[in-house]
Amino acid sequence: MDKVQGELNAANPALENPAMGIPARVGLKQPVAQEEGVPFFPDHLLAELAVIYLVFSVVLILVAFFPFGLEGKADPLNTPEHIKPEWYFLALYQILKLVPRATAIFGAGTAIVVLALWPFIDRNPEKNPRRRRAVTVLGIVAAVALAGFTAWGMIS
Amino acid sequence: MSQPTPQGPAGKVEKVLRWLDARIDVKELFGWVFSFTGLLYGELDRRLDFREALAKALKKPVPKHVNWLFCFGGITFSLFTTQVISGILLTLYYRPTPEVAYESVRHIMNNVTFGWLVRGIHQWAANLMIFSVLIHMGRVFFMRAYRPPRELNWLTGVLLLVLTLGFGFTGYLLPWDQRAFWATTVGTEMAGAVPFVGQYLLLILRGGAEVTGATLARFYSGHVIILPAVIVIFLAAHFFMVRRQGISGPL
Repeated sequence: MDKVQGELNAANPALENPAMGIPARVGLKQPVAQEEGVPFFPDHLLAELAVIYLVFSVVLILVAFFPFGLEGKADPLNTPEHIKPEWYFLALYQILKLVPRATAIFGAGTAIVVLALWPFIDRNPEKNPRRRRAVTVLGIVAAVALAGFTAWGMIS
Repeated sequence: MSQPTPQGPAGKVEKVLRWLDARIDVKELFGWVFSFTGLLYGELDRRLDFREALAKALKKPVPKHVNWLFCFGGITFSLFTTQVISGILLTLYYRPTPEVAYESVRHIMNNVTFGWLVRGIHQWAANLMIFSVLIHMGRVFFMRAYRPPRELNWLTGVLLLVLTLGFGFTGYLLPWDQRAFWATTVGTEMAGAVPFVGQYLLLILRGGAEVTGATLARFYSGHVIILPAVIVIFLAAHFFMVRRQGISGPL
């Protein structure tokens, strides 16, 4: 309940106590937020804006001190020695070096499909991490494997 | 009740602030400024009657268990907005043909006012966006926030991840430098390895047997028209479901 509404209600006890049988609606709107927590606007939005401000400053610092630059113009006749994709494709790129191509692509496709359909595969309603150790371990193993292959791709 | 005033420039600033403070009630000032929004808001509300709906939407409480781990979805969206704005600015000077694409990017970097800044923002925000998408996904996974009734929201989330990677893949070619050209050559070769349909997929992606101006044209089209149109639909669905179903409960 906002401050103005509170003051108005304090001035008229009948409004504060619906049991008195007087309709609460006398030109005043009912307060909207009754659930737990802070209202999205302005409280939560302010926190969100502070985070966005921080992220933007990180972006600007990176732009100023670590520019990407530009290599020479594309030349189809001149293959460079080291070709690397962007970091988010490095893990797949590294796996492709190790296993047959069709296998790796098929595996990556399967992984995406399993990921997309994961909520339909894991239908256990329990969400306490201690009682769902298998899922947590699976997630950690997948994350570590991805990070590991990416790092391997970076140094090789 | 007077406080001791510090000497020097700091003292002067404080003196000015105190002088202002004595004469201006900030709350009243802003209330006065905001009352002018009623000129527009009041007229619109009279016709559309959205006051209650807007108040309900804006005041919807954020649950108490929400902490900093929950902010990566919002960070991703703010970076997406950054990409839209900086991307539109880049299209003003970028030209997607193999003859002049590279030169136009050099022109953006060297001659266009703040061109280096806009391009730098676009590149870095793109990388950070993919990073924050992955963190967001990890948070949802480990908190099991994908459980019923939120399965469809997870599904749209995975599609949004794939679309974001598509943005990265198509955008990487556009500078038309050596790195861009050969990364795309290798990347599209991967698509060629897909069982059964690989060769057709490769032809569709490249617009021919090799990476040429045709590839650049369709990657540009994908990057600025097709992918944005598709991602906006899934973003809307993703946000609508978050709003409708609320933020998932604590562990």
